[in-house]
Amino acid sequence: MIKLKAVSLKLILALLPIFFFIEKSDCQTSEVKLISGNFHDVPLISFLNEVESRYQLEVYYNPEWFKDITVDQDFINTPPAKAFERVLAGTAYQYYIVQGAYVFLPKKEVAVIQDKSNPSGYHETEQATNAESDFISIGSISSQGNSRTAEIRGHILNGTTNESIPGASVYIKNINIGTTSNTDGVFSLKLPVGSYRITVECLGFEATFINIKLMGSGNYDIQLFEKSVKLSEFEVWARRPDQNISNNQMSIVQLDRKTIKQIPAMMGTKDILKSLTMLPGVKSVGEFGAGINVRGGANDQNLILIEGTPVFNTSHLFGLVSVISSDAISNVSLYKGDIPAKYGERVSSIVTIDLKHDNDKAFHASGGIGVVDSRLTLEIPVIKNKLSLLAGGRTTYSNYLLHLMPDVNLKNSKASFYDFNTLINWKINNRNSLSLFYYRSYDVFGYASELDYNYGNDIGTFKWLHEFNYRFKANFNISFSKYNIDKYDVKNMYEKSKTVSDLNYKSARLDFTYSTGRNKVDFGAQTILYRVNPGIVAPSDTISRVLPFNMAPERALENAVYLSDSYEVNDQISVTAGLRFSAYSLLGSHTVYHYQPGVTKSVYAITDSTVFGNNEVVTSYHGFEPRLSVKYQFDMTNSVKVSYIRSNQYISLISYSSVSTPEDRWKLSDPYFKPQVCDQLAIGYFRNFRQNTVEASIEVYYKNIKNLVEYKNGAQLDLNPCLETAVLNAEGRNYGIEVLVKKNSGKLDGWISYTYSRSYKKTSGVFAEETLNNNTYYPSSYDKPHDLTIMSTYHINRRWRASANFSLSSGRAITLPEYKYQVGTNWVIEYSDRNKYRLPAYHRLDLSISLDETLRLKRKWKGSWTFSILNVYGRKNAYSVFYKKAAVSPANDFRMYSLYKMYVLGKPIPTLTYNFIF
Amino acid sequence: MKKSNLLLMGIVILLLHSSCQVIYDDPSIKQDKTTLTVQARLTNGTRPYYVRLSNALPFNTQYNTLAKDIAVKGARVVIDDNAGNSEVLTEGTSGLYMTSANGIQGTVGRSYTLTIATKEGDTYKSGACFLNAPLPVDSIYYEAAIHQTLNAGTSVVTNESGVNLYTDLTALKNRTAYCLFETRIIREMYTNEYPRGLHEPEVRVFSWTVSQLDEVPTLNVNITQADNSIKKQLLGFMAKDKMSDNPPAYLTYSMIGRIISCYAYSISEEAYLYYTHLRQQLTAQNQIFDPISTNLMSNIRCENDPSKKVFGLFEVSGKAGKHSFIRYNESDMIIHSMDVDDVPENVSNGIIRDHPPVYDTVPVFWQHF
Repeated sequence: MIKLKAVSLKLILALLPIFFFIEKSDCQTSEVKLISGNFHDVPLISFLNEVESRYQLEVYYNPEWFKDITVDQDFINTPPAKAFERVLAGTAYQYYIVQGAYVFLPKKEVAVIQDKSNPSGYHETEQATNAESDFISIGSISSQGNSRTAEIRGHILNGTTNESIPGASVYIKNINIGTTSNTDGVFSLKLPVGSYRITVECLGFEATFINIKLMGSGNYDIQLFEKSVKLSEFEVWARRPDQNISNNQMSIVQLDRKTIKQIPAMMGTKDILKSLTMLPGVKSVGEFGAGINVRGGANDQNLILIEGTPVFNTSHLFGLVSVISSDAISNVSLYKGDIPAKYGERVSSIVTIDLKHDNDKAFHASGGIGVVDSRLTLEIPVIKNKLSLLAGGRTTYSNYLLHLMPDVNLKNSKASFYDFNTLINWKINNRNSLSLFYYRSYDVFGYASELDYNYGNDIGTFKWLHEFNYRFKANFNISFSKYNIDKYDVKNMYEKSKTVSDLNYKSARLDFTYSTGRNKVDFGAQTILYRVNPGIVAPSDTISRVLPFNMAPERALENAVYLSDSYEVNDQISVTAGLRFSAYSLLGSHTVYHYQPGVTKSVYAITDSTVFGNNEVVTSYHGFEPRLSVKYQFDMTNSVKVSYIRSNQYISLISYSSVSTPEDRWKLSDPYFKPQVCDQLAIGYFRNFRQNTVEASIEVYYKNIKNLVEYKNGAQLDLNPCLETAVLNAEGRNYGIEVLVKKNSGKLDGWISYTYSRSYKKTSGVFAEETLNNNTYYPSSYDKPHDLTIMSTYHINRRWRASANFSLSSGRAITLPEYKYQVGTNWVIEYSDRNKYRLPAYHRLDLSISLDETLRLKRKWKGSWTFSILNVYGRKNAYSVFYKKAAVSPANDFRMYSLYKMYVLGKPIPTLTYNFIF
Repeated sequence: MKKSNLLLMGIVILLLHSSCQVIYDDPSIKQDKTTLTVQARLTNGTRPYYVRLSNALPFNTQYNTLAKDIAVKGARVVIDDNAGNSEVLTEGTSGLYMTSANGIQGTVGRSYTLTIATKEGDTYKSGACFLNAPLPVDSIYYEAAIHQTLNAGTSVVTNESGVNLYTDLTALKNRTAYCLFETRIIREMYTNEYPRGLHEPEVRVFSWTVSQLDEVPTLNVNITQADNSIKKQLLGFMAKDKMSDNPPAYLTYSMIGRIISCYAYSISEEAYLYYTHLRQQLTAQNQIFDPISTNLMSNIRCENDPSKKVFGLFEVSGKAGKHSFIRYNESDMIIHSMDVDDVPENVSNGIIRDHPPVYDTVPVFWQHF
């Protein structure tokens, strides 16, 4: 057991986090770098700088201590430990080398117990968890002698909470071999058969020593227990602290459990997707409205995957709340560009939402009671270490509250939702595991007995993970996703109708990963079957005069194969090159209308039609989707990355307004709706400061998108069987610069992000009806040039923390009426060019303060209170602007037509939330 | 109610009341006050033809400024056809320009062009508009119906009984025929006056009002019917006549019935699109999620400055009509109707007193059972 003197603790704690929680690529063994060179009368600091730059060692020290010390040594292939021993001989300082890459140089009195026999390793007592005689056998006796090497794999877990511990060091000192656990807490070590003493360490946890007898490959899970010291001084990193520098991937946003935990709750609910909009390059049209806009892209250009399966409607209550509770989420990744070749289907971004899979150790429950909804998530180990169940759900009581409203319209309105998710994990053996995931969401929305909407998602995934060996892994995944919406017109008893529409998505995919020291190869294939039912209208009352009407359903098949290789050329340069090939076919039954040439497409210009039979190929598209990214790392703290990506999208959302609503309809590519094709080039510079506790980045991107969906003047989209007569093909051009400065630790953490970006569209129609803004570039509906976000949390002490979030952005582009004129006895209005005007600037400040009830380890029930005020200064941010026609009166300033601004949060909204975990 | 419920309810109420709509003034909206608006129609029907010129107003203009004269005066308005005929229209009041009674005549098969030269020196010109053959209206007929209206701001529905008006066009020559319907209603009222005492012969008083069935244009296009017909085209709803509907001064009048005139205009495709967008605007619900904008596309361009906007339409169309007489008052249990041969186009509100001893001043269009 490690014991550290209190006086030195602060220094150690200040330095250690960045060493211990480093996630190397799986199963990668540390390499010992040998030092050579002549250093005569050289300042020690110069020597350290040389070592840092030439041998990829990161040295941490106080320069004040070493400014008067010089080095006078020659080294020829000298191990770092020996070299540091020599240069520090006779000084008041000593060294510690961690994982062969990080060196820190404290004063000698820092360490209380120093293992003199092992100056290069961790300081430790020999009070191992297991006695010397207590060897654990790995592998079966029968397998002994079959192979000279064997693999030990396992899971590093928090012994108290059973959560996975990423970045834990697992190593064997005497042979200098080790690894770190990955983001799921999984480690793997390949060793010659024999007996070893394994050391497992992680910052904030007691070190554990295990004696093993390795006879063959096997599995062994290891529990670590938190130290009974000031936990608040520790940081648990789910990734390498310098990952933004060293990782090849750029244009990515990741939210791990820690970040998700700190996300401010809006009306008591943490909204994962809305939180993404606080990051550079990600925006939304406002507080209301589903979806996000990534780098100037439309909402339908984002593929949002929960456990690898797309969810087509991502929000409840018309966009007020995200579809899944944050309690069940392990991590979220958003790829704004540089999308790995394994992903396709959308041209703007991929969002992956992974649920907690480490639920097989102990029972846990978490939940919260908020203003809008309440939620509960259970983690149940059915068979310990083998079979586990994660189940969670949310429901709202807004419907009940609406019925208590005095206003008749509100009393007759409906707004409620629930969602439910369950995940079953079964670890069959060391090499195979299965998981089964199901999610359902359901919304009811109606206003004043006029229109009712019922809509929801059903998605499910079956996943089989198989490890051929520690280098070669496979993931087989079959999934389905269904989004359906029922619309009820209930205003008039003679026109009561029900319109049913849905989208069915079925997919099977097989992914392989092969890793070697410097190479990581991904390859696989995917097939997707789409079925879109655009609408079936039926009278919903016996006296209704509505005639039944069926829109023909659409079906299509999309297949894709991909191959990608990430290669570390050397310590500075790494390259990821990938190629995805996608092929798409629209299948019958289907009717294709032919139009008279030389005139704009309209129902009046139909000259003929072709009817395709069941499963007959109507039209096909295919395309290569190359991916390339290059990273050049100048040193441990700064790198530059460049990426290029092309992606194809074969499904589009037909939206009835610039704000996405659940009523929007999905449309498959057909002979007139060409697939969207996007080329994106991005370059970024990444720089870390203060030992990776401050990250900074600047990224510039340019995107060109073909075949965007745009709408004709006065387009009729509802139940239009000839939709091609209402829409236009447009070209998109987006560019921007994104700046992010993020502080990851300390009393005050958070980030500042600024984005300048533009998003333009251009039509190229020949006829007046197919021309918008004279075929010149105009801003898209989500063009918001300036976007500044400041998100900060101040940790007052271990239990109290305060957060402040501020957003400032340009208003989005809109089309406004410019004139009114008389036609007969009516006055009509003339709109401006498309998106000529802009909503007023958006800004908002949210404040919150949180209290954790207890941090005691023995206390199972851990509750926390969060009090927050949204929109502190009550800014009436415009959500949309629309016009109303009314009789003139003083109320509308004697105007027949008046523009109205709608805002969602017009006043400060205080909320109090109670969250718990046990 | 529990305290916790009260707390939650209070917060939700705060949220719901927090979201709202307020009048929005965008100072950047264009304020140009000299955009020409043209309303012109030429048919094969009775002359004269009218062209009304006015200026569009900036969107934010207050109503009281509408009282100002928006008429465009002093313009030179010319209609030409492709047979070499041309006429300069005479300016009337309030920006109304008209052809003479024996001036240019709309003829099926010819093309017409409208040219406007304003005082400001701008010249506007329409494209050549072809006059299609009229679409004969076969019949007008009625079905009893109940019209429901949701009272604004409440969930109360008002039922109103009346008739739905339909028409058939069954002998169309072309498969694609764009049709605009206008339905005029002449409401006939009658009473007796006894200016010389009850025992003296009465003075018969005929009174009538003229209105349109619907301010929103009714449109159809014959494209879906294989037999070149438009059948059961709904023209609109007409409530039963109420006695109290009569002008207060004529409370003793009897409702005689209504003469329904259905005019079918065989318009061009671009005019059809224009009216379609007009209809979209006039029937649009106020949508909070900014809907796709709808503009009416004019067939007139500014010759000297193509970037200059001009609104409105020069409609050239074949015109045909059908007339019917209906009585379906509050006290009627069944609909009484009959076809009427011809009703003049230029009827406006009026009153005629037919004095004894010879009652000979009955309006020429007057109908009754």
